Amino acid sequence: MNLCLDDALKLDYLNGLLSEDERARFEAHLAACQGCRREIDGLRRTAAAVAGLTPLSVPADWTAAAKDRLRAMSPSPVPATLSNPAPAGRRTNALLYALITAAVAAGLALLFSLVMGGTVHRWLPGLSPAALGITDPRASRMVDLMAWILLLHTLFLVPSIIDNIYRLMRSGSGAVRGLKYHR
Amino acid sequence: MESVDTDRLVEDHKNLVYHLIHRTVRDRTAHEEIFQEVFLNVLESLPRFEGRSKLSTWVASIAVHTCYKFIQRAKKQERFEAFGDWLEGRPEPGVLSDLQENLERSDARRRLELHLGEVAPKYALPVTLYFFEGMSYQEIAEILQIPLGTVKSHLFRGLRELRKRVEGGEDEPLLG
Repeated sequence: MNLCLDDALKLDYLNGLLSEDERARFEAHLAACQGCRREIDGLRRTAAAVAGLTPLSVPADWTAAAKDRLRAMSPSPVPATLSNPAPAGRRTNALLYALITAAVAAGLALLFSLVMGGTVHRWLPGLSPAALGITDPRASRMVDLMAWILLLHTLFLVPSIIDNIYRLMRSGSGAVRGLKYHR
Repeated sequence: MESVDTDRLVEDHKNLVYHLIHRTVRDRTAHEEIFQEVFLNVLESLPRFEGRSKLSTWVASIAVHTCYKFIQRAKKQERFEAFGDWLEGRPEPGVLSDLQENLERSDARRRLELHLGEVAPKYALPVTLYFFEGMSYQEIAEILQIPLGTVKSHLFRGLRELRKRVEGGEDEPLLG
């Protein structure tokens, strides 16, 4: 093997990555080869000079600007209020949330009883099939069916409505920011 | 996407990123823009970081990639501008600023910096990443996305190139 030509070996020697055996053979060659010795000396001093370079200092305003831009881009840290025991403000929100849920549920129950019991015709005679000029029993059943569809549709929307009301209420205090990003 | 301590991200990696930009892109006027772009890219890519390498290695690879993209854009722009200059008969942008800078830089370390700037980035980067940043061959291979053998050959070639420049000039005191 011609050591004079093996750059990888020279590099590993410089970086102290040769095995003892390899190093001994390399140094035996160095003792006999002035060209390699001179090259290794020069490379070692060059590497030491690079290692001794003064670290570049980043301009402070660049760092500040990068931090600002990243802060603006990243999701807000999880608010402490989400992991701590509920403060007074949150208890009030929870009460409101419960009241709204109860009101929506009561409204649905009322609508359900009106349709099911046929009371809508008694309480709001203007909406009865007769008042609307509907004499055909099939058309009358169709009105009831429409009312049912409306009711079911409302039932499916309820969770979303309640959730949105809840989020709207909480966004008033700014606590909702980052909620979606919380793991 | 989870919350990230972005201040710490910048603080921990600002020197490494700046160093890589400094070694890769010669147009100093663009350094600040690239510095900002690197961190924005890091934040955008963060959800894809799987932790298979060190965060610093990963940030460094994004920094190098951002620098290369900038250089590609600049080369296109340069070609376009050179064509415009040729059309209008304007002189090519001079090397005068570099010469002035040469004269202004007097101390040995600054001369070494200058010589490093003269070596092609693909050779200068492994040299500074290994000897200055203290990274391993493997980490450099990940950052530069080149095989391990290429890292070694570029590292050796960079070091030899730098030695030639340093010893070819009047920088003996620097190495002595």
